[in-house]
Formats: sequence, structure tokens, C-alpha cells
Amino acid sequence: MKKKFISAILCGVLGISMISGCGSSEGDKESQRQTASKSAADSGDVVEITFWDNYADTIRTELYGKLISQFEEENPGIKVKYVPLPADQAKSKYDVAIQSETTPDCGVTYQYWLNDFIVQDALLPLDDYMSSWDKKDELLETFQNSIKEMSPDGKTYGLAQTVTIPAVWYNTDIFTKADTEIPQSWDEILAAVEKTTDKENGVYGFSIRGGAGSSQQFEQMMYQYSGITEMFDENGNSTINDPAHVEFLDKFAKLYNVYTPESDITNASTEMISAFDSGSAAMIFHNIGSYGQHRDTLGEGKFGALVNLKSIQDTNVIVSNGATTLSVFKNTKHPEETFKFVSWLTEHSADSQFNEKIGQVPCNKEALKDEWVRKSLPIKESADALLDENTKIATLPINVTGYFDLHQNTLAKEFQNVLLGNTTAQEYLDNWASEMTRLKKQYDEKVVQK
Amino acid sequence: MQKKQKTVLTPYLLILPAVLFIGCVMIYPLCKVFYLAFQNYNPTMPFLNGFCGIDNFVKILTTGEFYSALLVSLKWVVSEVGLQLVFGMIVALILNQSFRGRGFFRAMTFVPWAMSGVLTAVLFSLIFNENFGVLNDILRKLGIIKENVAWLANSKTVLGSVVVAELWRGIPFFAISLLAAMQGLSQDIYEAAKVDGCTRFQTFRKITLPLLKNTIVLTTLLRTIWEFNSVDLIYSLTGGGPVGKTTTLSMLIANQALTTNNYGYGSAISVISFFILAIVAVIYIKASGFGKESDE
Amino acid sequence: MKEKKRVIVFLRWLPLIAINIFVLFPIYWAVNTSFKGEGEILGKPITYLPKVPIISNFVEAWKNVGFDKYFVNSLKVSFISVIFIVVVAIMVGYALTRYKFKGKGVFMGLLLAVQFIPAAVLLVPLFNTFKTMHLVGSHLALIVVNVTFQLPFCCILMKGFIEGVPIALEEAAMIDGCSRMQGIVRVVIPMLVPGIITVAAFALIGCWNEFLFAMMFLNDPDMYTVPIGLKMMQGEYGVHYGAMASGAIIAMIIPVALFAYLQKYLVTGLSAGAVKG
Repeated sequence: MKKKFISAILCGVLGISMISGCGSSEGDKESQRQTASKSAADSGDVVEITFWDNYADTIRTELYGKLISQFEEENPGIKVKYVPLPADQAKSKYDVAIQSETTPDCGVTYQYWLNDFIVQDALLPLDDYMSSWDKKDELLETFQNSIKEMSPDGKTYGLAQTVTIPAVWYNTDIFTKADTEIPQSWDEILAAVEKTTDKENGVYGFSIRGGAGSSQQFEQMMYQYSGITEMFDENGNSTINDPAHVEFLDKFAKLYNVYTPESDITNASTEMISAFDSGSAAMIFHNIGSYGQHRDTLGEGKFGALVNLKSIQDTNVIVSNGATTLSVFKNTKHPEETFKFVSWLTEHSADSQFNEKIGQVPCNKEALKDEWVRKSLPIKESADALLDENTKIATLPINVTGYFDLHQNTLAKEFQNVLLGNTTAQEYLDNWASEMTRLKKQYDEKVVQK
Repeated sequence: MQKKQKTVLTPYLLILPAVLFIGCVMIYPLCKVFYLAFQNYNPTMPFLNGFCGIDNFVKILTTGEFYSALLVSLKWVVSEVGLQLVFGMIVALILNQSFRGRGFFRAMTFVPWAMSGVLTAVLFSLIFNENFGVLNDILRKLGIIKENVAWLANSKTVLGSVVVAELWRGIPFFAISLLAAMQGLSQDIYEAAKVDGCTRFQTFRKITLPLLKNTIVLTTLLRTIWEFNSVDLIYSLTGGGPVGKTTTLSMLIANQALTTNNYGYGSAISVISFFILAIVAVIYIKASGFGKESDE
Repeated sequence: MKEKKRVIVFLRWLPLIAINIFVLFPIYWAVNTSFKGEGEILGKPITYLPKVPIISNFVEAWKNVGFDKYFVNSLKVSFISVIFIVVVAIMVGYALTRYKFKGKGVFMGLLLAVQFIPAAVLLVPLFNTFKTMHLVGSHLALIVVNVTFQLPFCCILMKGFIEGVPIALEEAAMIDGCSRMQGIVRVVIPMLVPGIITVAAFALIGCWNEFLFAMMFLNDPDMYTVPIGLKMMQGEYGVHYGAMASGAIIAMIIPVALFAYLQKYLVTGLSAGAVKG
């Protein structure tokens, strides 16, 4: 009887191993299929390339579906597999894929991720492919050059697709009710914050981003205020603790929990935007991409955007944290076809369709002149500023290895202490500056290839 | 049970599949964590990578961040496990009686058990939000508060708020486990107790509780480990803020490993937290005399 | 009599209703939110019933985000995982309660210890293991991970339940001429039904909600599971609380419905077995 039992168990174990055996053969089949498709490609049949999108939502999934079918129609030899990734998981997904060498053929990345990937030798330089691409001059030089110059070896690892221009959004109803003029400079904004606050009705003048992404957002605000366009001075010291920045941050920190909601301290972008869209905050600082969201909640005409705020030096500065880029991964088996696809996405028609739909600013000069750009005010202002020679572009030191970690690990957390008054703006920015200076030095010594 | 002695092979065959699963999948990654703990390892800074001895541990133990996270972890685990046990016990005791509508209430009470941390965070962010959250609206209508409270941002209320959200989805764990165990208790003892004229409370203290001891020890231990490692809810609700008020040790680890690629440092914290849990588990098992009967 | 009624009210109905309000309120609120437009969700005053209920949030979640596909995938992965987990856990639980063997303590320790390390740090090495096994990008990888990560917990839980089944019943059955296997099937399993349901329930929830590994292992949107779909609704520029709430409701429907059905077995299974014994 015991034997029966043992044999029953043995059967069970066998069964399990058989099922898992089946499974692994399924996996084998999968890889066989892959190799099959690859060899088919070599013999001139259809090539399939995988394309990861770092920011999945329904609008983009639909949009890319449309664009990809257009592309496939024009290029019958290439099929594109679209893989949407949730926004806050995309970087981790790329990181894991790079470390295990399972990267896609190409994907959407942010310029501020590129150096992390380049250091790990994951990306394909595109310069050779670009030289034989007839539409490369359509790309906005500002961003395409910065992508090239900021990479450690001076090669191009991405094509700029979209740029997110920061803006101050304001709620017109609240301003009318408080009988306050729409501000035109940061000093006027600071004054308006106090005037538009009406705590009894749960209305605050401003909503600060105090949680995830706080320090990066303030970095943009501070450089726009000061008008400084160089991130490091001639001695290689970070300019982040400039007296103008200290003064600006200090003023903002004093607004917290007086003229801004207390919950600001843990605000990520979502909470900050919903504070604005629920009519609880008269102003927020965010990029122009949230236009559609405000329109759907507050209603057209109930809000506006300030894109061209003058700095205290009376200059127009756009502070950029880089473009959204399209990159090709080194592991790709089909570099030609993949480049064809990513470059096609940045050409006039695709770039224009894409940015019109998501409400952002295209990086293609021809697309910037399109009809729809003229119609949407914040985008028009951004486009004008980008095409205007007097506008200065200040690009944050996103290429310095460790910049992103510093923000995520230290600066964002410490920022909450500044809001709470536990740390002064001076101390905070001095620390920030010394860390940034150290990282820059390390970057110049260890990463940059001359 | 002299038969037991002869069938030496059977228990090994019985545990074989489990050993295979755990062995094939978990052992290598676990070893890797212990290995990386002694390395400077960040794939985005290859020029700094390499063996670093106990540097990671020294750095961890000399920064305040670790101790504050440990304290938050302690508060988090103790309050979660304690509250969940108490409420779970109450629910199980009520649902163990037979009355009309019991099935309905049982189904309802167990609903949150189906929720992931991310889902729970979605539900509670709609409730706790300072500007449009319903909790502030209710409390204002009841006249309890005059100004909106920022439940998830005020350093006094944030931990409590997150604890309530986690409690919400944690009660069913204890309720289900305890109820299932209660169902296994023989009714005869209760009949006897009734005949002897025991009050409800006496029955509970003298009969139910001792009989449930093993279940309670087991569930609290498992839950302690589980809550200690749980990050999804905190991550989605507060991101660990404000100023680290809700940053537990596991939040610290998740940040290092997932967001900033600091695998060496993250692994070192994991190793420390591994030993903390191991010590807690051993002490707990020894102190409670758990499993003694079953080893007889 | 009156006093007894009062006792019942205070000991049964009051706590029961209080706990149910606490439990059900967030769900009511999610349902309420899911039928509102974005303007009404964020607007003032707060409405306790949607002014004009809309179902576009559900349409958005179901069709546009792709929950229809994710749902099927999640079902498949979870159910296969749970079957493995329950079978293996019964085997382990039985071995641990009914046998003495060398290495039992070590094995028990292993079951506890593998739970001590958070999944986040195991991710990359695990990924490499699966790559060598050619499992990356398949649902099988997810099933293996689910089984492995749920097993330790479920085995220990199952051991507790099997301990609760009096060994005397089994012995009696064996004296009556049953084999050990028959004893297990006829005596242990029927008495174990609440335990099995409980373990299966925990395993199902663990598998159904598993996010990190699904996110990292799957490279094909047609294979995505429900938690990934939920995550895709939390954008960076848009908020979509309404769509998120409806996604949440879709995500919880299966486990909740299944459990509402199964919960009765938590009660009946055992008493039947005990009487027979």
C-alpha cells in the first residue's frame, strides 16, 4: 500500500516535470520561431523589429498603431512590433533588459537616460546612418546638436522627436475672482501667489511639486528665473548655488503651507496637476503637455500658460532637460531597417502627427511650421521661442553620470526638508553644487572619451 | 506509528517538487545578493565597480537614513500585524457563529483581500486627497475639522493614514486564516464548556485562544515577514515621504535596486534586513514554543 | 431574552456593521468615481452619487487599454500557478506534519528564509536565470516565478492546516483497511477543504496581483497581465482617476466573485469530515 502511495507521488512529480518540460519546449519553439524569422529576413522576406515606447497610454498606443501601419505600407519589407511600457517602469525595464542583453531593436528614451545606456555600451551610434539620410536637416539643430555634444564620445545616439517645454499654468477664474493681473515675470508670479490664495474656499495661489521629481522641476524654475545658461563656471564649479537661485528657492519655500496646500510636500506630477485641475491651485509649473488634461477638466478658456517668462537679466531662456529621443540598440540584428523606422518617425509627417496628438512641441523644423502649431497658443509660443534666435537654451547637466541618481536619491528627499524649513535654501543649494561639481569632475575624468 | 521509520524515502519525494522550484529559481539570485553586498556595483558607473569589502555596510550603518528607515519599519510592522490580528480575530469570531446573512457578510468582509497594493493605493488616494478627497469632505460636514487636512503629507498623519490603508486590505488575511482554523476546532469542547457554565469571554480565553495558538503564531510570523517586505502600497501612496516619514527598509532597498541601479548598496541593505528578519523569526519561534506539539 | 438580544447586538451586529462600513466604503467610492467624468471627480462640491453616470471610463479601460486581453492572460497565469502551488503545498505540508526525516529543520528554515529578501533585488539575477532557460517573454516564466514565490508561504500555511487534521482519524481509517493514499483522499482532503481553499485563495491573490516580474519578463503587449494594464493608466501628464477607478474595479472582479462563491466551503467542508471521523 505504501508502494502505491509512493508511486502515486512519483507519478505526480513526473507529471509536473512533464508539464514544465512541455513549457520549456514551448519556449524553445519561440526561439526557433525567432531564428526562423531572422533567417527569413536574410533571404529578403519581411523583417520584424521591436519598438518599445517609454510612455504607454491609450492615446499613444492608438497613435503609434496608426503611424506604424503607415510606415509598414511605405516599407513593405519591415514589420514593427509595438510594445508600450508604463511610464514609471520604463527606465527599470530598459535597465534590466540592458543588463541581461534582451534589449529591443529600438525604443523611445529620454535624453537624460542616454548616458546611462551609452556607458553600458547598449546603444548604436547613428552618425553613419544619418549621413546617408536626406531628411536629417529637418531636425532642430538645438536638440540634435545637444544630443551629440552631450554624449561622452561625441557620437549621436538618439534622434530628437519631441521636446517638453516647461510652462506656468494659471487658472483665469481664480485670477478674475481675486482681481489680479496675469503675471509676466517670476516676481509677479510670487506676488500673485499671495493675492490669489483664498483658504476659506480651499484655493491656494500655487501648487509646488514636493515629491518625486521636485528638485528637477525646481532646477528648471531657478535657471529660468536667473537666466544663467551655463551649468558650470570656468573652474568647473556648478552654478546651481548662485545667489539668485538661493533667493528664489527661499521665497518659494516660504510660500509652502501658507499660500500652497500642505499636501504639496508629497506631490508627484499627478497630484500637482489634479490640485490645479480641481481648482484648488491658481498656478502650477509643469510642461505644456498637460494642456489636454486641463482642457478636459477645467474647460477651454478657463486657463492659460506662460511659456516666455523673462529672467531677471531680461532675457528669454528655455531651460531644457533634453528631448525625447528615439534610439537604436546595439543588439539589433537589423540596424538598417531599424534606423529607417526611427528616422521616419522624426520626419515631417510622422513627427507632426505625433506631436499634434499628444500636445507637445515637435523637434522637426518643418513640423514646427504646421497649421496646428499656430492654432494652439502654448505650443505656438514655444515653437516661436525655439525658432527665435534671441531665445537662449539652457540645457541642464543631464549627461553627467550620476545626475539622475543624485536627484532621485538625495535632492528630492532633501527638498522636503527645505519646504519644512529644516534646511535653508543656502545649505541645500551649496550641497547640491558641491555634489554636482564632484560628479562633473568624475565624469570628465572617467567617462568622457577625448 | 512505527510504520514511519521504514518509509524514509517518502517525505523526500513529497518535498522534492518544492525543493526543485525553490532551488532552481531562488538559490542563485539569493547567493548573488550576498555576493553583491560586498561589491561596489552600479552598471551605470562601471569605473567604480569592484570588490569593496565591508564598505557598503559601514556606509549603511553610519548614515542616519538606515536607522530612521528601521524605526519606520518597526512601527509599520508592529502596528500592521497587531491591528490586523485584533480586527481579524473579531471578524473571525463573529463569522464563526451561525446567523442569518452570515454568507453575505463573510463575502463582503473578505473583499479587500483581493486587492493589490497598487489598487488599494488608487482607492485610498481618492479618499485621502487634500483637495478633492472625500474624507475631508465628510469630516467638514460633521464639523470635526475646519480646514482640509493633508492626510498623506502632514508628517503627523501620514504614517497613520498609510497604516489604515494597509490595515484595510490586511484584515481578511487574519480573518480567513483564523476562521479556517476555528472551523477545525471540535464542537464537543464548546458544548462541554457551555454545560460547565462558562461565559463567552471565558470560553474564548480558556478554549479558543489556546487551541488557536499555533495558527496565531504562524500567521503573525508570516505576516510580519510579508509586511516587512511590502512596498507597493507605500510606494504608490507617498513614495516614502514626507522627509522619509514612511520610508521603510524595503522602500530604501527598492529605491536603490529599481530606481537608481545601486545594486551593491541595495544588496547590502537586503543582507542586513535578511539577518534582522532571521533573528526576529528565531526569537519569535523560540519564545512562542511554536510547533512543539507537532514535533512530539 | 431581551438581554440576550442586546448582547447579540453589541457583540455581533455593531462590530460587524462597523467593520463592513470600513471595508465597503473605499469600494463604494471607487465605483462612484468610476462612473464620473474627470471634471466631476476633481470639481467641487464633492458628489456622493454621479450627477450623470457615464460608462466611458469602463469602455476606455476594457477596449482601449486592452483589459480584455490582459484579463484572459491573468486568468491563465493565475489558475495554472494556483493548481501547482496547492498540489505542491499539500505534498510538503503532509511530509512536514506526518513524517520525521533528516533535514526537516533545514527545509523549514529554507521555506522561511527565502521570504526574507525583497523581490526587487532578486530581479536581475532571476532574469538571467530565466534567460538561460529560454523562458524570458513567456507566460511560463511568470508561472514559475509565481509558484516559487508563493510556495514557501503556502507550504507553511498548509502545514498548519494539516496539523489541525487529527492523525487519529487517519490511523483509524488505516486500521479499517484503507491504504495511506486512500486515507489521504478519504479522510485528510475532505477535512482539509477550508485549508485548501484558504491557501488557494492566498496563492490566487498573490498571482493575480503580481506586477514586478510580469512587467519585466513580458515583452509583448498581447501577453500583458491586468496589473500592467492598471499601471498603464497612471500617466505622467494626465491623471484619469475615473479610468483608473474603473480599471481597479475590473481588476478586482474575478478574485472577489470567485471568493464570494468559494467562501461557503470555508465552513461546510470540515464539520462533515469531523462527523464521519
